[in-house]
Amino acid sequence: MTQPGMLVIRVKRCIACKRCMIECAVAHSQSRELVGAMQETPRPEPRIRVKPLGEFSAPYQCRHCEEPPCVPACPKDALSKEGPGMPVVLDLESCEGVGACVKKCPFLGVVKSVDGTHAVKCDLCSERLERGEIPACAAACPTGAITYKRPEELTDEERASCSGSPGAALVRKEEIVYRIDPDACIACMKCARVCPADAIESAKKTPHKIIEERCVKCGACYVNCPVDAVQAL
Amino acid sequence: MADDAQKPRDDLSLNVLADMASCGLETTWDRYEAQVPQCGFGKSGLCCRHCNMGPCNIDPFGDGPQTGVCGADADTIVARGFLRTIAGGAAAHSDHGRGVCELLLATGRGEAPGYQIKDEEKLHFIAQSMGIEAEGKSKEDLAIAVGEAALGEFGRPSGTLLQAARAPARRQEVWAKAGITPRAIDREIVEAMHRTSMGVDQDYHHLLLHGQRMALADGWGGSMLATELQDILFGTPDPCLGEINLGVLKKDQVNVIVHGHEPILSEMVALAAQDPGMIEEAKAAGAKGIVVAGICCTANELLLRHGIPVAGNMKMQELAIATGAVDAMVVDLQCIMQGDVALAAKFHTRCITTSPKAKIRGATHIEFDEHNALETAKQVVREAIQAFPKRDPARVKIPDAKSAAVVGFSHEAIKYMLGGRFRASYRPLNDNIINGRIRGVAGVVGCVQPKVEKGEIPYVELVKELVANDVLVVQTGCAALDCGRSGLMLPEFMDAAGPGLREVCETVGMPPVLHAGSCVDNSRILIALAEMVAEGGLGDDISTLPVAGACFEWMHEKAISIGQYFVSSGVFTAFGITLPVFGSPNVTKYLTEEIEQEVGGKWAFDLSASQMAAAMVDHINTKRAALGIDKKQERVLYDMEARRQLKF
Repeated sequence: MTQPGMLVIRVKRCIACKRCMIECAVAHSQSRELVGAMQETPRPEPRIRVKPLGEFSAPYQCRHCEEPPCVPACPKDALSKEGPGMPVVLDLESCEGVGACVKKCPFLGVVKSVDGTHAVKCDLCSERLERGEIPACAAACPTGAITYKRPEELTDEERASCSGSPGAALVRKEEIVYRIDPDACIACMKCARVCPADAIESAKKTPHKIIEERCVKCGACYVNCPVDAVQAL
Repeated sequence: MADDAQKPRDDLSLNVLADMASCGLETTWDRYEAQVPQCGFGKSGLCCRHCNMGPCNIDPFGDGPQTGVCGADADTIVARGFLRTIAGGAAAHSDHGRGVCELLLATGRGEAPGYQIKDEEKLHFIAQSMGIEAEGKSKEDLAIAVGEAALGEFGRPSGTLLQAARAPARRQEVWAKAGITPRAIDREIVEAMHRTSMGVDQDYHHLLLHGQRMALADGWGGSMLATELQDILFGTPDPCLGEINLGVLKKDQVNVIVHGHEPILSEMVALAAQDPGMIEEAKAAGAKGIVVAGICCTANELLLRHGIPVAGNMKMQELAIATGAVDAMVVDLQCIMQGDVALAAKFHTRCITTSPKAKIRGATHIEFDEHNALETAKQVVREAIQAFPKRDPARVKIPDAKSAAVVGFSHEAIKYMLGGRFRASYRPLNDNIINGRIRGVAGVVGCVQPKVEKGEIPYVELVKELVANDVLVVQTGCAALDCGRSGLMLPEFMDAAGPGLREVCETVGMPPVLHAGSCVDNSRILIALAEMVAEGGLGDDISTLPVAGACFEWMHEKAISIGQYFVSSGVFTAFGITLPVFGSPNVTKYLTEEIEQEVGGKWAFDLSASQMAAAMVDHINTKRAALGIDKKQERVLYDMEARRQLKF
């Protein structure tokens, strides 16, 4: 596969209509259209999930990280990344639903299927890309919260939001500031451990603090805080 | 105003919900969490499903489509959606009203054993308001005449609603000028459905004018007929003492919950439960007696007329089942959650639907019919008695929480309280508003719902702010029950009232928070407002009165219809959460600003409890200033000469 383009996510445009979820599931179904897809067994599942992000909502999906924590974690070697800028690919034949990837992913990017037999993860719609179409979620999004751009089409600002280590095939423009609420923080250091940009000052028994200049807005701290102490503002 | 540390908390709900969570019992809050985030197109009103060229939506960020397939813009789509919401609410109230009219007719004809005409005075009053001659008619014949005339209001072929003529003359002129005088109850709803179908009314202002007419046909039509005719059949409320909260359920008695809206049903269930034969049956099953406790509006109806205890409001219906002590959950229509059936199945509780219009999959259906009401009611109570021995004592957890409440403030009761038997009037109220002891009157009404965080009880916060500012508060619905169960309808609450309000309330002997009934009884507030105008000194229209309305946690479409009929009757009405209109700046501007030029009232929404209190007090102050009663004025002594100069 040639190096794909990038999904540009603008969180503040997300209106939680969840069309991306429906179209993703349909694009990964047998029938490839809604009515048929809804009657299939097993029901096709979306690889993208719209969930709250503070007071906003956002699509959560695999970030196709440059250094994906899921790849080395899989005991069946079912996950792989061809090279820089390429998607992280799940080989369904090798996958046995162990779930180590689910535990390792800091972004809620991969989940177990409803029947628990395998992992479910974004594949950047490689099939559609090969046909010259854009990923289903980008095609579906009515507000431009999800758009698809070739790497050369990215603006400098978008390139800067490429989030470094996570999100090689995903540009996440949060326009959001992440902040740790000092009253809610229990100083468990989980956020610091998942932060790919080393942007969190953490010490035992001290409320942790995000260093704004270093923060790449990936949201890993928000997703992983066990007491919801990270605010998205 | 109130800071966080002093925010009232609903610890009872928190505790019960925590307990339910630990037992793995699903509640409406869990289901809400699963739904979140909810679709912004729906929330903003920018989704249209009215034809098969769609479904369409408008991109609020301006990049995507700005019109539907037919070319409808955001203004049209939002306005059409708002109209259908009013229609849903108006239909609910009006259909309920229709049932009461049919019952009055049947009672007059002697076809409804068990029902009687309790308030003859009101029967005469309503007959008079409908232009029906009472002379020479028995009360049965009068009931038939009133019943027929009332039913005629639903589809009258010409003219305008009879009860709308009870509004002040000036108000009727405002309606006529705006072209929104309500014609017939069903007609306005049908026309709304027509106008909002594809390719009909596509001018948002025009649509919203009709929406107002439709809402008025609810408030001054369907709801008012429901209230007035229910008073005729079941008695007009007078102040009485009741108890509100889960603690009214009894460990050693059969507990029958009546939930829904129609006293046609709940009055009969209450009667059946008092029948000595039924009580014997209960005793034979091992119980000491039978408790009938209400939830939601039907609770309000029973509470106000008979002091029958209330288990809780709409958002407590699941908490009640989770006490493990509810033997039958008897429901009719509106505000009943489908989830109750699944939850009841986890206990011994029998879920019984009773209305020909409302079934729920999995519930037992025992259909109510006014021609055989008492027998059916006994059958229903018998189901509860049979379920009683099946209670699991280990799972019975009735919280020790209930509050007494002084309730029953129909407009007639308020008038009587203020003036006594021979001079019943609103004069003392108006006088004390004019002299500033009472700043104004606020209606705090409406629904409750899980978008408000567990443990928060914003109506209590709002009402406390208002009474502290010398605002007399009238309440209905689930909002009233939240305040009633929190002790705001006890004499002790007088301590929280501002000095002026307190002085008047203590002198008259009335509470600063007046529970006026169920949601159809919001029509009592309309009548009270009309009376205040008629009494004089506060301007010549409802829109000149220093009053404001609020509904903090609206849930049902009925609330929107109510809000709209208050706005269109000239009252500033503030809603919490949002209205599904913010997707159209034009519609939002019309409803929150421009509409005031036409009808003297307007909406406000998306306010916190303290913002709402501040906005209402500000508004009341503005009205006072406009009347010139914000300043102390010298009393003018009229001598004969001055009287001769007076012109009327």
